[in-house]
Amino acid sequence: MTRIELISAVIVVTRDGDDIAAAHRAYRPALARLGRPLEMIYVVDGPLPRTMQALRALKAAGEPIEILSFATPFGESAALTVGFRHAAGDVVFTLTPEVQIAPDLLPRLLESLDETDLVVARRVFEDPPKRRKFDGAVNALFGTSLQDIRCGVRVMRSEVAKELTIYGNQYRFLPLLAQAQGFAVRELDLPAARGGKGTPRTLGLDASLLLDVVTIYFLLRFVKKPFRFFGGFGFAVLAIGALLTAWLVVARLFFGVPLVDRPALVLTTLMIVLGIQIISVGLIGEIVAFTYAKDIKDYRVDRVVEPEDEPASAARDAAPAA
Amino acid sequence: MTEANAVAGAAKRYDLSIIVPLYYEEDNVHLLHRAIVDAVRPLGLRSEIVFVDDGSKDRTFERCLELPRTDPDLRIVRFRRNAGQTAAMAAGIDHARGEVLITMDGDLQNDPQDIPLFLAKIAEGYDLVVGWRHDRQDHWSRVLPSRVANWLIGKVTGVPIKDNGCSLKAYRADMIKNIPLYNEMHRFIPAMASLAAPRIAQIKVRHHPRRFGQSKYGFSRIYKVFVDLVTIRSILSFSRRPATWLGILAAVGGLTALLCLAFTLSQLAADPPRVSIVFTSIAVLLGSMAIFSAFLALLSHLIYGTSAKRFHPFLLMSVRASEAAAGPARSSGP
Repeated sequence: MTRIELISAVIVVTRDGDDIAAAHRAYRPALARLGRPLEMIYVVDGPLPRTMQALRALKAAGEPIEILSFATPFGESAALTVGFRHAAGDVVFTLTPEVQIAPDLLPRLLESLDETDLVVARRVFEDPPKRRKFDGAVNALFGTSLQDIRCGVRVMRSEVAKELTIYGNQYRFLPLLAQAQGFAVRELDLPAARGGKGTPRTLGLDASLLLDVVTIYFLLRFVKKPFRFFGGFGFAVLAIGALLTAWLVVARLFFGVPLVDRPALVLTTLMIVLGIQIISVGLIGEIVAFTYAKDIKDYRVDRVVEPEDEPASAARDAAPAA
Repeated sequence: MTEANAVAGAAKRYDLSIIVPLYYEEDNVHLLHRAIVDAVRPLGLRSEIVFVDDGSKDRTFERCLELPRTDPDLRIVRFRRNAGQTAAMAAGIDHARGEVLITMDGDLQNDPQDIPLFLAKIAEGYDLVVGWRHDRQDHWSRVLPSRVANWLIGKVTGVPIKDNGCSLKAYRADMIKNIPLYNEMHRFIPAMASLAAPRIAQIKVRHHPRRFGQSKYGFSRIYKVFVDLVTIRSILSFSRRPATWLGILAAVGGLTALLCLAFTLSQLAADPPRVSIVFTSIAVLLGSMAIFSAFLALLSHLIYGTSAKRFHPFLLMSVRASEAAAGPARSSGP
């Protein structure tokens, strides 16, 4: 890849408990060993007095850090977005306040960025935690093959950081979103930091993750064409309801089957109503998408080769996709 | 003018832009370029070719880079990944700088020698000229479904086009650059363009069998075309008469609900009550839902109608169209 003028690292701090100074002391020398100018951007999500104190002390000691802090917590996605907007480097690391990967291995992460746009560390544990069924299901749904999607240690080209739009809980699935937007994503096996235990898992967390996955799936697949989903579904329900109702009416008229408050009739009538409702929702969704359509770009431009460019070496990414 | 022009930059203007989406066309690119150059050079216009590589994983892009980049100017837009034919067309339209835009397929089935015919029609005052492959060189299993689809699209959208699937089309740039093209609407460009009330002409074009590569369609399209057709129809009628059918649904549903409710209430005192509370509930549910839907549609129309970027270009184009009423009649075929 082309020469790197500046390396940025974005570290989002959401809790006051982590020893941020220790993390900084671990990351800094490893990144410095890459031999390029370095900026470390700490985004503090909300008022975290101890973290702020530690970061201010580091900055006063002359460390190359910038501190961005929210007055009130806006969540990790917002913090990442702000950090990305602020990052001026050609490559951007995202790191976590608790050390997930032995920091000595960060240069290897950068080396493997050569052919791709984003590299996620895949933590290899000494005693592996439970098999990640969850990640398996996510991969099946999105057609990806990432096994440690939620690992917070990643490195990406600046285009990825600048173009990604994430909000809500989407930071957990940043690699999936990047892939959906046409960036090349790969994983690199790296031994997990000593004492790392993987993502803590509770039933509540899993449920909220599941909700996020469903949201993102819809967002990626149907949000611009809701009728593809609601239309087929709605017409099917409507058709089945109408057919069954017709059959019940025929049975009543010609075979004398009584109809008074028959549960079957209630059910089929409900299906008709439900079908109409689903279709309406889909169409309203399409109308909203149409209203918004001039702002949607369905494509991501890798590069534009202008007539004046040198024949062999066309500049990469001459026009950014909107 | 539009954001599209901002993307392309306003440095150089052309009379004519030829836009070709390419997807796995490494064998065809050079032949195609040759054919376009042969057809365009004698016209003596300032013209450009815009190749859009829709994320092909073969050597399509490299083959494009080998081509001469001047006379006529060649601009290559490469996608990061496959985004589909509509997106490729939209990207070509966004990046083109000509006053007249011509789109065509990258598989050599369209003949660039037809381009002068399209330009002549545009010069006559038409805004959109649609090609019609009157003797298609494809298997009947592709021709027949497409006939049915074209008939249906014409009936439903009210824009009777004999061949919606023909990519060879010519547009006035200021018209098509304002038409939103997204999802898989490339099959419905004339219908979507009818938002701007363009004058549409159709002309017969030559059609060649494929020489290289595989055709990229299958039978699975039928569901998509059907669903998209309903979508387009609602979008078109929505933009002209907001919430017509949702309004009717709301009125009918609401009235039914009220009547059922009134009848139920009148029966409450009767002994025994001759009423089904279940069906009353269903009717009330349907009625209120219909009213909510109509309200949401009206809300979207408020956003759409008050947005200068979305709605006003169509109004301005429509004014221009009626000023040019001395020209040919609207939407007339050959």
